[in-house]
Amino acid sequence: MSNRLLEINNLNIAFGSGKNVFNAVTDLSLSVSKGQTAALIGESGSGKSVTSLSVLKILPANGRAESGSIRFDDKEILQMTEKEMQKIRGNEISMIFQDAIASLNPAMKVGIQITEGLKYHKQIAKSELRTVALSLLEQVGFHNPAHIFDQYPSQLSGGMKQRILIAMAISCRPKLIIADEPTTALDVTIQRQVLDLIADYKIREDASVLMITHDFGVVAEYADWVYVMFGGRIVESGDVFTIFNNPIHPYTKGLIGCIPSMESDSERLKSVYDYSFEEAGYKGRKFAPETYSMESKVYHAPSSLIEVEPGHYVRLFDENEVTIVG
Amino acid sequence: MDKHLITIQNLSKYFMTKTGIHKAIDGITLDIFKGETLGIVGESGSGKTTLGRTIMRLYEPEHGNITFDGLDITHMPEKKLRPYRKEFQMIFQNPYESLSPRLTVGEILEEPLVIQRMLSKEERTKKAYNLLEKVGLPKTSYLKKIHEFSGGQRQRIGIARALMLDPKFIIADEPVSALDVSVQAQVLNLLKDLQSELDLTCLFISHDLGVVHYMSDRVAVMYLGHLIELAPKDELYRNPIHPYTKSLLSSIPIADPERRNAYREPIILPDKPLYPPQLIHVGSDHYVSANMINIKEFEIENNRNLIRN
Repeated sequence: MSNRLLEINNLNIAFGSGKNVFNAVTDLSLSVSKGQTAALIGESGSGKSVTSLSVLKILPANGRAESGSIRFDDKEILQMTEKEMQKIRGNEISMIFQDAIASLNPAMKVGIQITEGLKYHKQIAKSELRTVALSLLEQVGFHNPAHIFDQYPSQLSGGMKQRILIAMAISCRPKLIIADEPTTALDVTIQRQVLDLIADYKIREDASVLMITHDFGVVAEYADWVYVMFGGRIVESGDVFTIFNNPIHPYTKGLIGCIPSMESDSERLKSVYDYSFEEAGYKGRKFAPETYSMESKVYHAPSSLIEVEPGHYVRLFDENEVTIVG
Repeated sequence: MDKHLITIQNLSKYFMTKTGIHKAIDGITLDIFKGETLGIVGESGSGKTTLGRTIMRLYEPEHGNITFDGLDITHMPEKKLRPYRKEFQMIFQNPYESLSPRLTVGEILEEPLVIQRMLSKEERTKKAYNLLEKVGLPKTSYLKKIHEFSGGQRQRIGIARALMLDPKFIIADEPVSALDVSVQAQVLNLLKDLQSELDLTCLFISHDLGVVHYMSDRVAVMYLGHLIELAPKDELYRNPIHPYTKSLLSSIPIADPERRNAYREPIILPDKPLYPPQLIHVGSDHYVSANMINIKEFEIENNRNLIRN
């Protein structure tokens, strides 16, 4: 029995049809081990959210997983029927979205909302639902759960709404939580509280977390394993210490280098354009984000992921192999 | 010669809401020195944007006054104010909403000059091309419209527009928070270069403490409409005194996995005091809200006599 709770292999996701096919995710492999937090980091448009949606099979109607496999708990997600998926969503895998306002029903008391998953998935007597809801509210840090139970989403602040979403997400005690930029819209003090709640749940239940983010600070504090995504592909992966101590891909270096430090005094901030493979000793290899676009119709052919040290994978781009797209 | 470019005294701006008066900013007293960048940090709702807009005279203040280069502009009528407007410009947060989609970039850049009736048509065009180059955009941008640009490029256009009138003072309100991190770095570098090249005085508003540290000389912390702590950058980040400042600093994720289990200050979010706090000087140009520290205790502990401001 493997230690891997979620294992994605060679996943390809495309949108559109005919001439207008757009490959959002190409040849993506990642895994989340039991009891661990894996971070999928990248900027807008890199395909990280699409990847997380495909795990729950909730891609937008014009998108589809073309090939590859997504195994969760030794079951193949891509071959599951809608009915089987309904047993998994919210029950074994739950998701926390970025936009707490859009994720809550404005016309329903939050206490009722957090028990909806329980009503559907677990055999719990109606009379007990309120007790369970109150205890969930307490778990996510509300000191007055009975008062919060009767509130509507519009009566709560952004951080409180995000905590309601967490209460909802952990209500059925899922094995995997997918958190898609759960704190992007929040202030730092609230961000800290929300991320700590997710981390606490993970430790308490020995659950796993797949964290989607663009913030390397968050990755450094909460992740065990890191996947850096660019242009629909994983460009570098490894455990969090390796990625921070020995990043190789220019894009990874750029994402780390562009965080302003609060301790050393301000040299210039670096960006992805300031790094090349040359300095890491990979001659003739180039990473050129500006040419890697559908617009210019040219991109440098990426090599497959190369294991540069045990457990540390990097995707190099070969300057000699230029492909003209469609 | 006065070294203050802007002096703000006891500035307040209230908004009427359904539930009563909302004191967005209350009793802010602040000086901005010539040539410095003053960073303003605070969470959403702390009043930092309202402060910026009130200084710009986009809002009418309830109390207090604003002095710009020795001139009281607090209640100056709009007509009289207009010639001074070119001295202080603003860079907005959202480059998708603050630039007109119907105008070409050239028209956007030249509009402030047209309003101020400055320069001839040819000179205006020349200046626009000049600034496009300064902010790192190609000359061909002049004839394009906004939808053809990415977020980072749009913010460069926003910066160029703010500089068209050769202002002395710039308010940048969250100029990079809508941008991806790698683009953010480029825009920050550009702002910093331009600032030292043009000797601008800058009020830099952001919720991101890292970004504020990178950009600023001094940093002011706002909390629930009050100014609660003000100090030179390194002093503030090393020796925060106010419990909220401490919470804020310890909440920032540190981009170093080796240090993830280091001690963290517990997060304390104090209630809003009824009256705006008085700032007291605790040495090293460091000011902190007097409501929050027990002055006697602090004096004994630090062997200092506090001077009330």
